[in-house]
Amino acid sequence: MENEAIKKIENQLKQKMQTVRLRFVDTLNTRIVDLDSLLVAMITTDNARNELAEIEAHAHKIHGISGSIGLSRLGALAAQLERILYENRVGSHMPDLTFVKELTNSLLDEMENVLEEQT
Amino acid sequence: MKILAVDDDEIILSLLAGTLDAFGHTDYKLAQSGEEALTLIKASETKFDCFLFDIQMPGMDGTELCRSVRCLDGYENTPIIMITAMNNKDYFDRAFLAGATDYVTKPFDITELNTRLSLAERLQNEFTRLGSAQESTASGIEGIQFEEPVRLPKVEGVLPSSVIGNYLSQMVQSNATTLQVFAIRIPELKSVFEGSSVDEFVYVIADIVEVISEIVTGYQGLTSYFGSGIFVCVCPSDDLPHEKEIEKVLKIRMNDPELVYCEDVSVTFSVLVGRPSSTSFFRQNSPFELFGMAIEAVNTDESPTLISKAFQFVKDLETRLSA
Repeated sequence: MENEAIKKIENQLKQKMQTVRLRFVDTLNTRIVDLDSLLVAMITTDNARNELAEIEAHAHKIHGISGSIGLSRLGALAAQLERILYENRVGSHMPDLTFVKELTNSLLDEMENVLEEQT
Repeated sequence: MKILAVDDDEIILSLLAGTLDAFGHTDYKLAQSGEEALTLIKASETKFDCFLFDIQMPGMDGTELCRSVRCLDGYENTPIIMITAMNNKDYFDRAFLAGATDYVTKPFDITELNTRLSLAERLQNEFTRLGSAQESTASGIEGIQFEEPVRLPKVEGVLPSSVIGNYLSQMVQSNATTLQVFAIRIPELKSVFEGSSVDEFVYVIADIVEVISEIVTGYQGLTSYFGSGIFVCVCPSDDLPHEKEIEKVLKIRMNDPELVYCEDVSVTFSVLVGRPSSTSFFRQNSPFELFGMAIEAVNTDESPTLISKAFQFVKDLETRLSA
């Protein structure tokens, strides 16, 4: 009886997570476009603080949700980008923009992969 | 249990809602900002029993929201679980000092979140138990024991004994930093307890914990009163002075003639600071084991019964919070 109850909870959770995962994947196209334009702006502007803060906010959200819905690689890449940007912001340092660009591009590649796998 | 979950990301909110549904928590509300949450709390006819707050939100962030909720009537002790992707000591400290009782790091494990909710329920019971004992004793009924902690007014850098375990456990799990756990015993508190009313005793403890906390927060540490005249402190290991040094400073400050603790009982306080126990990546003791080790270190020949009662309190607390 107890096993049945656990199974029921597990099935319910699986269904809910699948719904949340699909909703999240649906947002990826918009997030990719946003991150792409932020990358371009970051490279072309003299003071990229605003762009870096926005990239950090995107990474924060992706990190926050991905791991809980089974997208652990995406979550790990977002976490790495978020941590670098956070540490530099708190320490009032300007991060190495080439490195930020590389990390953001890896994150974008993984977002594309997730989209492809889903379709 | 009536729950309010707050996160600016609606996908996280759906995830929280899905988790709550699956585990049978049907009485919950969702809010997308700190401001919206406060409006909901104030307008609610029945009280919320538990909160889940995201820390990083635009506008009023989770820490600020936590502080505001603590100022609302009837929400002084309601469990607040903070949710964030950041797991460094600064974040933990700020959240717990603002009044949070627990912490979950994103991405969260669904079953862990449910465990934390069950813990929140037990924590709420513990607060109620402590509050009722204190109120009964204040009205002349035997309730509060010297071996039990008391519910203190808000003092900066001080956490309830039932919450400091959550803080320590989060710090150990995240390997945020190495911490030292040590106990401070004031033997004379026994005679203060016997010779004063509950209100006076609480007042004396609040004054003493303030003196201790002033020193401990200087080393980015937190303090808690565990009953039996014993205070437990959790500090990062860097720069913490030797226990004899802390003892010396505390003794001077506690016996400052300008501090009048209790007019009915005149005492000169002595101070015992125990050898610290450290959290370690390689040997992960549970918070309650670390508290027990810290309390054991302030054992003296005259105090074995008292120490064994303090030890028993830690064991009982662990049982009550993990039942």
